[in-house]
Amino acid sequence: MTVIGIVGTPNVGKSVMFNNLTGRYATVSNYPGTTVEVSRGRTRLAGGDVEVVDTPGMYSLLPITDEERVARKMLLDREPQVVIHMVDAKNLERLLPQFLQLRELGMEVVLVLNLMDEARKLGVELDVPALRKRLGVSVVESIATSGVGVPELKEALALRLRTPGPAAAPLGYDPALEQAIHQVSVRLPMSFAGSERGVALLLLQDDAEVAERVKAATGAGWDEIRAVIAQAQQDGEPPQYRIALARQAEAQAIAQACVRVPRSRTRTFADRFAAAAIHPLTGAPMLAVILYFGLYQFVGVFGAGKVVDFLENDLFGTYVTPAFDAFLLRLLPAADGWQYWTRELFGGEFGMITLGVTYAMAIVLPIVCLFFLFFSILEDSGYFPRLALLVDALFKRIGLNGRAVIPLVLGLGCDTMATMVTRIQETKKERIITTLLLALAVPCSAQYGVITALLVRQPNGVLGMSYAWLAWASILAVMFVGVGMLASKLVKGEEASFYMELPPMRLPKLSNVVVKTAARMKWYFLEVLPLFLFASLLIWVGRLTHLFDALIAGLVPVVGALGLPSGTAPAFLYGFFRRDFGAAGLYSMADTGALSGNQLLVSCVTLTLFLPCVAQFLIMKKERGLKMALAMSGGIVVTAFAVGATVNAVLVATGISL
Amino acid sequence: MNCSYCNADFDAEAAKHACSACLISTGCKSVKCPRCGYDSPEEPQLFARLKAWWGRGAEAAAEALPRECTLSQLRPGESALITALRPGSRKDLQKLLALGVLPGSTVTLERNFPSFVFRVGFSQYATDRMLSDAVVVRRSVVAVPAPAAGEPAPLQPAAL
Ligand SMILES: Nc1nc2c(ncn2[C@@H]2O[C@H](COP(=O)(O)OP(=O)(O)O)[C@@H](O)[C@H]2O)c(=O)[nH]1
Repeated sequence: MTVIGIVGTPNVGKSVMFNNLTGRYATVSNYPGTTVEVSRGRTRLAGGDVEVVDTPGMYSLLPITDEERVARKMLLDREPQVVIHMVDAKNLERLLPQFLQLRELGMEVVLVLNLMDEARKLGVELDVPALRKRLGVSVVESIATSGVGVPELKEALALRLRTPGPAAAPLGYDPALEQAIHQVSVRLPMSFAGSERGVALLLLQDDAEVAERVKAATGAGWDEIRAVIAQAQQDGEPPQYRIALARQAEAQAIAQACVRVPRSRTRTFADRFAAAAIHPLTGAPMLAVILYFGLYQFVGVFGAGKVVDFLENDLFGTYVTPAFDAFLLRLLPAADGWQYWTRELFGGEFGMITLGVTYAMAIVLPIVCLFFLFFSILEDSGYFPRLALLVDALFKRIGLNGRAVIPLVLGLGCDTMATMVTRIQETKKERIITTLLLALAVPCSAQYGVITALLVRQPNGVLGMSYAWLAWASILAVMFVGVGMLASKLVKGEEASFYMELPPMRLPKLSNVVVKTAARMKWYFLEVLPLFLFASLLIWVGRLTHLFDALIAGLVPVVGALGLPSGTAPAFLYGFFRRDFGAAGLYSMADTGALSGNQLLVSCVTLTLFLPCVAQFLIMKKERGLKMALAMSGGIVVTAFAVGATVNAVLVATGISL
Repeated sequence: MNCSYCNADFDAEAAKHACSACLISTGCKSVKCPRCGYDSPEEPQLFARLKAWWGRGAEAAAEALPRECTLSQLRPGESALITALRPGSRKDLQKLLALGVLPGSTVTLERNFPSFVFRVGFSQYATDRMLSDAVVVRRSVVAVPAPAAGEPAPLQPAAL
């Protein structure tokens, strides 16, 4: 089938345009790097079905992070027949070099000048007919968010699919480079026909991945190509620098002829707000306010407290669960034997419906939903890149850089999802440290919510936060920093310098926020609901075979060492499957007053430090390999118990009672 | 900073260059005064930042700066022409090129703490010190009376 690819830098509206073209939703975001997977959809063009592919944003065809490689790989495979190159109209000059690169690779390109509304507001004027003539491709102006330009884009695409456009007039480089390009291109095998110039340029810029490809395809001829590359790397400035300068000169010339930029720019309210967000004096209090109201009050107190209380106790507790149990009892009335165990499989204290579905719908659903809502609002506003630059210097101490905020904050929603997003990180070292911190010290929203609801009920405290909750949060913070610092020393490898574009801050759009929240919820439920059911099933099997009794008996001395009553042992066992399962078990114990404030704190800390759930382990295995996943998990379990025991010892020694 | 022995004012960054020949120069926490050679303890970073915050430090630093400097040395709000890139690694070069931070463009530094925030064209970027140090710029001459018509501009600081 015919394929159309959408490429461009992050944040130019690729996902919105993808939605416009296909009517399908890809997650839209105002943060560079949240489209990790490639989205595919279909549309009808020129009387046929075509596939549209949305790619993660990239700044250049020389990729820096793995996700940038995704888009480039697609281009090198020559998968799309036509490429939609989306650019930010007001920044055309800076983005033209990428356009030139696409043309050098021999791609059929339709240039889309998006964000025209913002460009007009700033007084940027574009001479589109002149651009068309100069670039030799179709140029379409658009405002993706309101659908302006979509029909014109479809028309331009249809035209390109019917008849190929004129070949690109090659951009000339300095004579030495031109000679090298020539020497490399003539040696390239047939499979690179049409894109020789682009491929030769990538090779001359010392791109290891392209080199692998060409080497595999050329065989013996590779040595000659390599000699040319080595020679080019040696004379004068590095080729990538010379190439970038030549492209920039061309971009400037084009912009001079076709773009008028106003001399002065007006400062909007959003600009002022953005400036305040990155000023250390105003930025830190702003962050504190966002966290307090967003995470603590909205997700924790309101979501995990009020909403869950209503759903769990009033709705499920009084109506759904008893009705379902009564129904089962009528169906299978016997007090023991297979009827009892079948009843227990679906109903009762740990049944797949009464425990699995109730937890999923009444506890996890509302908390996670509110968290993703909060997250999507922040994301769409463009706040995250600002947060990244605020914390960069601090994150450097734990071997990461500011970019790590996105997986780490997302981890507060779902650690499993966040572990996948570590792909946006540049070096292996950063990915390992982030994975470890997510699994150990970042509570996911379900767990965070349940624990907050649990600890916030303790009587003593300040500002609506109980001391127990504050102690829990501080211990996690200390673990996060401490383990991060240790890991940054122990894990070998490179650290990456921090660079990031700051997209303009925009008022979040309700439709974007809803779409993003819904997309994340859908993913979450497809991944997580089956696991809930699976965990209930495992618990059922465990109880049926009396395996759990043995395991619980084995855990009793361990929890004893933490100063906890033996009744918490099952909570810890279930905590291995999902941390919040365990926490919810504590919830019912605390309800009956079986746990003191100190014991609550110790068990919450220990449970939080555990792996979040079975899914987390599976994704760690997928992203980091089995060996590392096992090593991390083992270390985490030991650490969790060790820290729990330490907290208990400290509380006992100091005589503090929370 | 200020030498605690002979009281001479000097630029701590510049003095570091003088130390580069010394064997213990990397880990050492003292700065040699270029006038009398006395080793003063290095100004604590926090203190330097506070001084910069009050403006005095920044002004002093700006006076001591030559026209050619790095992006990280510009004063917040100051614009300059990018003249060269001196990245520490290929990856860093690639990052600057990808962002379009290239010789010939004009850059405006907006913040230098907690990270470096700057603007090129309509785009705003944040980087750490390492990347900002890699961008060599030429500052436009500030606080100089506008040249009379017909006079060649801009002036070199040496001519002042
Ligand atoms: N004002 C305006 N905003 C836009 C336009 N196109 C996209 N956006 C917004 O820009 C942000 C980034 O869009 P997105 O599609 O996620 O960019 P991507 O990273 O390229 O996929 C979102 O908040 C969009 O709502 C446009 O034409 N005008």
